[in-house]
Amino acid sequence: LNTAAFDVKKCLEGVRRQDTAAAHALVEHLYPLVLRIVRSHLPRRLAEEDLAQEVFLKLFSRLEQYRERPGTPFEHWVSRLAVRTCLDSLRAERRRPELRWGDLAEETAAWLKYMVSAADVAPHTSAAAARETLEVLLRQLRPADRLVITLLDLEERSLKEVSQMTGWSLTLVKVRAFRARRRLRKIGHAWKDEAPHE
Amino acid sequence: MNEFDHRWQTCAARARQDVAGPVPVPVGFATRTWARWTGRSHASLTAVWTALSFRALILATLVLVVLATAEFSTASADNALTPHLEDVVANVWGTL
Repeated sequence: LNTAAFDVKKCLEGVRRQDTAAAHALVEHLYPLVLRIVRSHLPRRLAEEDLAQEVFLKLFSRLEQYRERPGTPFEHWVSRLAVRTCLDSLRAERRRPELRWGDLAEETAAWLKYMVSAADVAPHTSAAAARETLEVLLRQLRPADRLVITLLDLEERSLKEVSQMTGWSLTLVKVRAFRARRRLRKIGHAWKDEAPHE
Repeated sequence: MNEFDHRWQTCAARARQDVAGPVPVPVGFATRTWARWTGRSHASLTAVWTALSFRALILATLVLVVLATAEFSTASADNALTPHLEDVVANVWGTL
């Protein structure tokens, strides 16, 4: 985000006065940040643009609650808001589809086989296939577990950053990550048990 | 770190290479979002007004019912105690 050239304070004042141009500028400025978060934590049945819009609607409705603090840019507040919105959407996704080996694309299945079996060499596939494989496993976790693993492993955030983004204490983040990894291993074992024999 | 965790991290490292390019804002996204927000805030004001009006209507109906009941009971009591005016007049007229 080009924060240097963009005057957030002035823009927020404009949005509070219901200035349409300021609102448009704010949305366009924050869109890349919001979309990056939304894409990482998107429920299966929701379009990314819809969820991004939901984040912005929350942003407008809670703008009065935002207080500027030295050393904490506005973007941090937005990131937290976006993460919380995604978590709520993941929680609302009551029924998660159950996938089987036969439902997976060839490249995804290759990665999954590598993860749950004794194959020594990682498959040479696209990064997108690797990401899809992780998504398959992450979707089987609880929303909070999925969120913490995504932030730690895929986005390589520190525990402190995860704590700031989620509003959870540092201890809670550690405990959730530990439990999530344990569940992930169980899920991996379940896939291994159902693996097709070749 | 056990075998699964190690392989998970290998897969995550590969997945992180799936970097999306710059994200352009979809055409009209800002306009749609702002319009939805302003529409929603107007709608919420209307909803508040409707809810308050409905409550005021219920309250007014209750007050009217209470007043009507009180009036009816007072009127009944008055009728029992007060003699009819025409009878009094007729009686007085008859004695003259």
